[in-house]
Amino acid sequence: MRRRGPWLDLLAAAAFVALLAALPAVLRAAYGQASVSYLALGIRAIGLAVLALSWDLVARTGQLSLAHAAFYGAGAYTAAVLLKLTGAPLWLGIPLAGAVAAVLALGLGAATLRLYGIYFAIATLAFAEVLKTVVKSLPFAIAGGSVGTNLPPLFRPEFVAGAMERWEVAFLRNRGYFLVYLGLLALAIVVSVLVQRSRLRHAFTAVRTNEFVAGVMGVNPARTKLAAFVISSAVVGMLGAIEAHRFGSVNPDATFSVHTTVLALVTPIFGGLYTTVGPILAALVLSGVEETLKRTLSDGYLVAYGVVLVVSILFMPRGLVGLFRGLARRGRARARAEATRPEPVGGADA
Amino acid sequence: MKRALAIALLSLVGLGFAQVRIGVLSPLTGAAAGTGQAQLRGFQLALEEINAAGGVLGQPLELIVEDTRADPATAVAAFEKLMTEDGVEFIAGGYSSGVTLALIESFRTFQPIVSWIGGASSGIGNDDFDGIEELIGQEDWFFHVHPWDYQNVEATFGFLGDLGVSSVAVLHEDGAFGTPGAAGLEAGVEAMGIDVVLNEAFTSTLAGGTGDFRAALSKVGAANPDMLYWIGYDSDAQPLSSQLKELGVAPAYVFGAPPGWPTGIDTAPEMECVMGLIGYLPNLPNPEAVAFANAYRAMHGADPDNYMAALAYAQLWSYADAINAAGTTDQAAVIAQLEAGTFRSPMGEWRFKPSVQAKHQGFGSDMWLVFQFQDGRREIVWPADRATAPLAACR
Repeated sequence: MRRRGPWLDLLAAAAFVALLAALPAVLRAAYGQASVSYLALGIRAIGLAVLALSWDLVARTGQLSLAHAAFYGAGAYTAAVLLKLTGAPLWLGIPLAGAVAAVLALGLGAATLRLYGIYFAIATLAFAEVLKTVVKSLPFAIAGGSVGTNLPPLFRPEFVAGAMERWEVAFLRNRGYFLVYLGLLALAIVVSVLVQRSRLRHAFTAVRTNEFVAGVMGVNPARTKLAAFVISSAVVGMLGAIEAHRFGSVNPDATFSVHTTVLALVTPIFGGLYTTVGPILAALVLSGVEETLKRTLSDGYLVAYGVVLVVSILFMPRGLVGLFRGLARRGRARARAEATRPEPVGGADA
Repeated sequence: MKRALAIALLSLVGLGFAQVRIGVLSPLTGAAAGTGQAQLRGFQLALEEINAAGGVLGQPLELIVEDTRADPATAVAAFEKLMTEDGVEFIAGGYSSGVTLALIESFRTFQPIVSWIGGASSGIGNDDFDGIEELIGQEDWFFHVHPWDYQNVEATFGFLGDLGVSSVAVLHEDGAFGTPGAAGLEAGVEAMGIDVVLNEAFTSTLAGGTGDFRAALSKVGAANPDMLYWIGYDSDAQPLSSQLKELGVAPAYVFGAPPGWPTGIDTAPEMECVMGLIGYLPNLPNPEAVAFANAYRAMHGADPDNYMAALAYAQLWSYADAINAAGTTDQAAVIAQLEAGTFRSPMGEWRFKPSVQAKHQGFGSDMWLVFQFQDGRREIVWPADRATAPLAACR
């Protein structure tokens, strides 16, 4: 059977992104000034989706990368240092952050991707610590040492907003960031779909399943893993740069926090590994559940959230996507059984 | 029909009362939860007292508490919720310089009155970094309660000057908290004519360190200073002190500078004679401190062991008193009352006054006390006029 090309998936992804792109206008029309905080929640969810999807790309080659904090931080610091040294336009820092993270990933990947499983994980975890130490040791005037440094925001709508109401100014700023985050998510989706619907998918799966057999079959495991690692890191680097501008500052401990890596791997596990939909769905669901619990159970929401996570992992080993696929399969099987069941003798009333 | 009319009537009556709602942003969960929970307990006590005393503008005061988790993205979303969904006009709480820096754009946009406890980063003396004080200190609507970082240092130098040591060994965690702190300490101490015989970094247990300080402490022993001054986190306090005793390293004075001390550490034998800086202690010799401690114990069943509770208590009372004095929630009138008023606190009366860059600075270097663990409790040993026990040397 011939595998279908990526076009249908890309079309579906484009529709999904277009739907999300319309969200600010819908929220504004429906909730007025409350749309500002809903958009802020949306930005958090999309940021998490980008992080999760990019981590999943590496996971598809069977590698457990714990270096996401390193590439996130490298991207954030690239934007900060570039601005400090050259005063270059803010937006230039974002693709450059992706490029620097990719180059670092190339170096780290070439050195460590020969390692397997836990050894690779430890090496990548250590890389974040190494980068953090390097950043702390850079001259103070460049990166601000342990204190860090400030960055201007990407959007300052009040300068052009005139007599707008305050919430409208905040709405414009959040809409700006929402669209930038969404753009990055779109890029991550396109990469993921192209990988999923091309020969690369087979290469990734073969390397993940059995690297030696993959090699015999003509797949170059080293190159395949390196490609996934580099692409994933570029996406995370850009996310780091955007968030550095959004939060106005970088400092080594917060920017290279292991928390980033933990979020990056927990989310796709919850959503369903090795898929495009899983990590995105998980990011949206987890952010939504967390916020809803926070608003309804202000005192014990984290306990409830933890229970939701543990129960999900126990009963949905293949994540949300696995759950939905299982339900769909069962539904189809039931429909088939209904269709082939012989008509009872004497009719339905017998 | 009757029901609809009744609801409409009740709504109109409700509109007649201007209930004041204050939005609180504190890290109630996550790495800084200890501080956030301490703030919350202080707010709860002040809220109960304020409402028992008649509330604000004749109505019970209401707090809407949001957890920031000490995470910038969470804090921004929480602040924007308070502004756009809850419609609060006053913000209280606050902790972590990183979170505060991330909130500045949103603060600027909405410009409610922000009375901010934490976020001590000022950037004074650092040309390449703009801290919170430079970025929003000049805003009419911004009030800062906790001392700035350079005010903390001023208090430390005041104490060291009075102590009269001639050599100091500095151990510091290698992050954004300890490294600049140690650099500033070294420069200041040397300017006072005190020798810095060692300046050594370690990875805090909070940042993934092993909690084994023996190598660094051996260096301290070899340097034989009059004082060991360490800058780290709460979780470093006990292993560091215990290993110091284990190795038999005994400088005359040991001073720890974490942002807070772990609950229940007072009675640990290894803490005996260790000193530290703190903003409030229940045994402060002033009636407000005693009253606060008694009321706090009655409400929460334990002593206040983190000075953030006292600051939160002071902050909420300052809002209540200023709004009541203004007789309105009009922003300009409340700002005028916050600027002019003198407020109650467990540390005694206080008011907002200008600092180096900020218009409205609450507590300054004079808030700080030096305590020493003596026989399982914290005794105030500096400044002399508030001391509850004489300073004891460790050897």
